[in-house]
Amino acid sequence: MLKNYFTLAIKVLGRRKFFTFISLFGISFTLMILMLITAFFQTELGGDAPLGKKDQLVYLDYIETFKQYQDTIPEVDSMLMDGVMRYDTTGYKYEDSGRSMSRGPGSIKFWNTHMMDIPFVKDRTIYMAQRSFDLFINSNKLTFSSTFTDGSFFNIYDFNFLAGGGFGNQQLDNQAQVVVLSKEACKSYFAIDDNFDSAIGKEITLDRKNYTVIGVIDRVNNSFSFLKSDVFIPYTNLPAETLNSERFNGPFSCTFLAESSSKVKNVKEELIKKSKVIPLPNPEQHDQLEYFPATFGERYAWTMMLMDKPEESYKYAIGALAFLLTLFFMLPTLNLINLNISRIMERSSEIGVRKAFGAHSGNILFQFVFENIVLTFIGGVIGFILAYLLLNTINGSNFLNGTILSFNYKVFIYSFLICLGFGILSGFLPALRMSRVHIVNAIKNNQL
Amino acid sequence: MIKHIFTLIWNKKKKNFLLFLEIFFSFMILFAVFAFIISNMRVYYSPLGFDTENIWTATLRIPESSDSTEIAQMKTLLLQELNAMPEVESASFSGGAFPFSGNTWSTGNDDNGFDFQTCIFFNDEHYAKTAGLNIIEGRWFEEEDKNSKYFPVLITKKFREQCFAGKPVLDSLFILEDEGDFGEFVKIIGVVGHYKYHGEFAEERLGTFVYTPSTSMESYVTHMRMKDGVKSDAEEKLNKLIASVTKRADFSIRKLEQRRMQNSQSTWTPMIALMSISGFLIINVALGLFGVLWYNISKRRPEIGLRRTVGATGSDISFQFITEIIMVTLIGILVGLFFAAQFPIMKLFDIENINYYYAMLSSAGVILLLVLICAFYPSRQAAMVNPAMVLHED
Repeated sequence: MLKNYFTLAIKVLGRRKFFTFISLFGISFTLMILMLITAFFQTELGGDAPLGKKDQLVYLDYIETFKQYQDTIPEVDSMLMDGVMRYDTTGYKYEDSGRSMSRGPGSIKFWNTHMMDIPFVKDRTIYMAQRSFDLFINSNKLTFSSTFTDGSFFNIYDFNFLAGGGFGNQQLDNQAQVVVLSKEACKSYFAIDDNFDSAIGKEITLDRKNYTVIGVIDRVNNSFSFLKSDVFIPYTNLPAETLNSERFNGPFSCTFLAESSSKVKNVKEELIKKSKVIPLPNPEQHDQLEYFPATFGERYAWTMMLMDKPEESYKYAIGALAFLLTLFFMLPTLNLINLNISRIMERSSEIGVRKAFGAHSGNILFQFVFENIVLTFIGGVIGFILAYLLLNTINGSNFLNGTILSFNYKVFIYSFLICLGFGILSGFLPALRMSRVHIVNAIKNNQL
Repeated sequence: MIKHIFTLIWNKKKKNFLLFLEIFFSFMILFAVFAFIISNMRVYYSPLGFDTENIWTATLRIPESSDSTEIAQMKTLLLQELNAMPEVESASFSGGAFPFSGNTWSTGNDDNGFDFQTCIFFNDEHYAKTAGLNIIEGRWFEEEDKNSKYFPVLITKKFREQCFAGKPVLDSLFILEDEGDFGEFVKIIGVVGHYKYHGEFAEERLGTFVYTPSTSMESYVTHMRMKDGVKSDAEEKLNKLIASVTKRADFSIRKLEQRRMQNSQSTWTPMIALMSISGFLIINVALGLFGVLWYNISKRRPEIGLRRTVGATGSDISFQFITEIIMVTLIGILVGLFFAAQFPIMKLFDIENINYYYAMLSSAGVILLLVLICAFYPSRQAAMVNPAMVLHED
């Protein structure tokens, strides 16, 4: 039966080429864009290496120390006495008038004295990704971005090593002059194209120090700058004034690895509890500490929405995304429904005959939804090809500023589901109408 | 006539409702996209106020614990050496808040009798020349300003217009920061035209330039204006020079022009993506509309035939069909306008209201035009119906 429906669907498509073209055009472009969006989210938030443990991460990008100032506002009562206005102060109201604050990443001292033993935390890494170095090779300039970090970084972020491995906390304590390079950096500095093992043990000079290469990592596709650096260096190689700074503010951000993804909530709570008890080094200037731990998703939304709190940003981002996608989805669906409904009449005699020979409304409904799904899948295949072509163009043109989109089986599965949903959604209403056509009207209306 | 058309629309309300919905959603999407693009482009076309071509920057790292005299000597030497280079036209130092850096230092108060919030830039005496600032009143900082009783500052035109409109500002004093680092009062010595330093797509905020001598520890970003035609290979020379004077190599020479492009790309990317998506949606809707109209009209051939026989001309027929579809469109747009009007009324986003009005006008215009184009061909077809043939058909 399905085979019959399928043959019929293909025949109908061939009958009115112009309408088929309009339908396919809409379907394939809609699906193409949805597939690209899926690919984008898969790249950014899908948990590809080095973010395999993303569900266990808690981020603390910056801390804020502040002092709250209050305005004292006298409340005045006025009354008319003997024709003269009299004023009387009845009380005072206090209102937050402003805060003197400093916000930014933390210092090594802050992270290492106050943020070590947080309950439910399995591991923790601090990192700084602000500096970049200019290197000149045969008067070609290479600009290498850097991440200064500790050994736990490579436990928490599961990089794909093409050769060698990361450094450990032992090497960090020994101030070992070792470096992990990105694939691109390795290619451009050593002119090595595939045999990355040969880069291990070679030396690279950064800021007048020689570092030994101990690992080469594969390309990172997402947009997180501290993961996309060209060189990863143990932070103990930083100048002494950065290492020994007594202030709370410094250049380092922190990622905590919770014991399991269900403990992420607890880690956030413990961190917030902790902020209330940490003594500040200079209470005359700033006497309170505040920060907002964020999960992976919340942090992503936070950097985009720029709201006060990560949780709030996350909610708004999800809401906005759902709203926009619905709006975007709505138009092509409505368009397709409109077209399909218009084309009902063309098939009414066929339905009439089928019904006269005993087909239920359900049969008719199923047939037409099925036909629409066939149409959608043809559009889906075209859309997939278009999306693939466009994806390569986008990646080639650096349109997304370094983010490399890629298709994998997950994107494929999502695309399949999207097609199915789109087919059912746009086919249901017209099919319902069609299935309800009265036999007599249907047969009378049109000649076969 | 119009009433009659409404009856016709009402009789087919189910079919027209879907059409109406489609128009309504198209309008809303177009409105949102236009509002975003128009507000961005209006900012984009306002002047930047400084040059980006041939300007190179390098952020030096000066340890907090260093000796200030040593730093002052080092920076004086660096400035001399830089100016001695044949490729360099002029050089200057600034604080961390400089064009496209993403850094902001802002302050504000209401102690002067007006409320303001301004961004602060720390610049030395050579900056105006190096960056190509346009000074419309007064003068830029000079070295003698070091000994001035009050902190000398320049304000931007926007600041002047907003807070000192119609008053002379040169040499006047005001409180920049209460209990701050700038003494009790600062003295305005000049007005700078524009300084859209957050980026080409960022609305210009009020700005105040505070004098920071080139020998100060606070000005650690080197700006260099290179001569025309200087190629990238001068970078290596420059890099070595800075490294040898500062005894450090943890800096990177960046071109302001490149930074500008990178900075703008973060707005261009969503804008181009949105434009192409909505462009496709529009084509999609247009094709769909065309198909639906064509189909509907061809279904109404008997009706047309009848009208022709009782004396309607061809243009009467096309007029009827076009009016019908325009009516449905207008209803869709009107409902859309009602929702769109909530944006400027409720002030949902931080953009000027005028952008919303432009967006309403343009999206309504685009949709009307689109519908007219789509309705034209099918209704021409309808007008050409031969009454004898159609009446015979039925």
